[in-house]
Amino acid sequence: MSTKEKQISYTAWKRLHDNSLFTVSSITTLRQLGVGWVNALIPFAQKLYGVDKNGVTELLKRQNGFFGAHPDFVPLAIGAVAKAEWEVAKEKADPSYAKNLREWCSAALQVHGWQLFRDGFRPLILLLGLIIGLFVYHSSNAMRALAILAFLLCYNLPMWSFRLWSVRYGWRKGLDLPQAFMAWKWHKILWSIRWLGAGMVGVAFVLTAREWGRVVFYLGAHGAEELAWVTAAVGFLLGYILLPRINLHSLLLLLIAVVLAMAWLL
Amino acid sequence: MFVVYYTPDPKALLFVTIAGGLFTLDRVTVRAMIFAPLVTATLMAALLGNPWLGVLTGVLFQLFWLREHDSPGKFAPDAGFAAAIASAVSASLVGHLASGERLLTFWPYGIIFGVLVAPLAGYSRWLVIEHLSGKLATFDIAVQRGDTDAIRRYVIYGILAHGLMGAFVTGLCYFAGYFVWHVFESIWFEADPVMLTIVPLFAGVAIASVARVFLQRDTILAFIIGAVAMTSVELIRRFVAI
Repeated sequence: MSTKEKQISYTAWKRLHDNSLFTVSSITTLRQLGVGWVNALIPFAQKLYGVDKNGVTELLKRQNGFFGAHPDFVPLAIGAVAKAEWEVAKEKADPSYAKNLREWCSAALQVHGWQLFRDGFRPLILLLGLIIGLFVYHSSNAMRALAILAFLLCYNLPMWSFRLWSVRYGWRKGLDLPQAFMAWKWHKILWSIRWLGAGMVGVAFVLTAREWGRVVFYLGAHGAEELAWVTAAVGFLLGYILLPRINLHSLLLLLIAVVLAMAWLL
Repeated sequence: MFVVYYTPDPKALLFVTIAGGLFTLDRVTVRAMIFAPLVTATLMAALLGNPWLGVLTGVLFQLFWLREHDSPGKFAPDAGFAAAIASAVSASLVGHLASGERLLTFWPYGIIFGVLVAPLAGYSRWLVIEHLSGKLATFDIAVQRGDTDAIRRYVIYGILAHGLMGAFVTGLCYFAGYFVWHVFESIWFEADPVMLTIVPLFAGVAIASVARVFLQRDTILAFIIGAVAMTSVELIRRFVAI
């Protein structure tokens, strides 16, 4: 088989990408994203097997099961599994490889997805959004609209580029995806995100205290600007020290203690 | 008279309901961050004619849920939904301001109401997920038969169910927020020093929760650079203003 024949057409990988976006909408407790995963593979399976309905059914049966990768990693997984299925159909590879690859993606791409997106990129962009919001909420309406657009662009440009790229990357790697994925410089990626995030936490902390001081002033509680600074700093220190030890009960106790202390003080 | 006084404008209710459905659809499909509190609150308030109040509400809710777990299957408070409701309720109550009252008079009520109803969005999504899980046997039969149309129908049904549930819960909460205010109108939720102290205190705790993720021995320099840079910008701004 020549290299050219192994290329996936633009329409095919675009459809794989587009369908992979809807996996979350059919999430179930038993299969997680498994239902959407099968649905996302339908156009590819039909293109691969043409009129051979048995081939399509076998592929869907093979891929029907638990799938729990992080949603933002689904395009990467679908590219690689599509390639593995392609090898099953065209090069008579062992069908269990394609099934095993899905199971690997389900486990590894969940844990790494949490680290990269849930605890990394997403809070980083939300912090950026917070900073933009704090800058513009007292500006003109046009500025506010621009700020919201800027925030959405900051998140969506890198994310959509990543999703589109990852379908192609997954297809290129196929069954070699686990090996290639583990060679990613995870330490450097996560370190860069943490470094940027720490810088933004510094900016957000100063801005929040400043802007809250303004709100306090606007409401007419004169002299309370300093109070906003002090309480924000106390909250930050308390949170930083106590958070690892906090559970719901201790948080409630803390809340009650703060309210009682405030009621007594004021 | 009762209907006019106690219920929101039907056009506003319709807009809020549709927007709520669209926010939910974004969360469960393309995930373009339109469900972030900053965006939901601003769009809701802009729809009701007061974007300033929306950005302020969005900033506050974004602060408190910076590390929100964004899994759509969770049964937990939803920051984007809470911000949308808080923003919609406080922005629509602005029309009831008496002369001499400030724009922020109804804001604390909106926030308290938003926080109270926040778990409803997570709970409603959980109900849809449970409903879809109950239909898994139908899905498995479709896969066994290779019936691709039935598989697609199941997924489209899931998308519609999430969207409609999101729209229904948002519309209901907005209606309830408006109604409850007029029932308990005599209770005055005006901002007082206790709230003004508690908000920055918890804002600090919220930022610390993100700091625990990002801030470690090797990134402390970045934190200091960020804080010093922002303080310098503020000092320069004040200096230029003088």
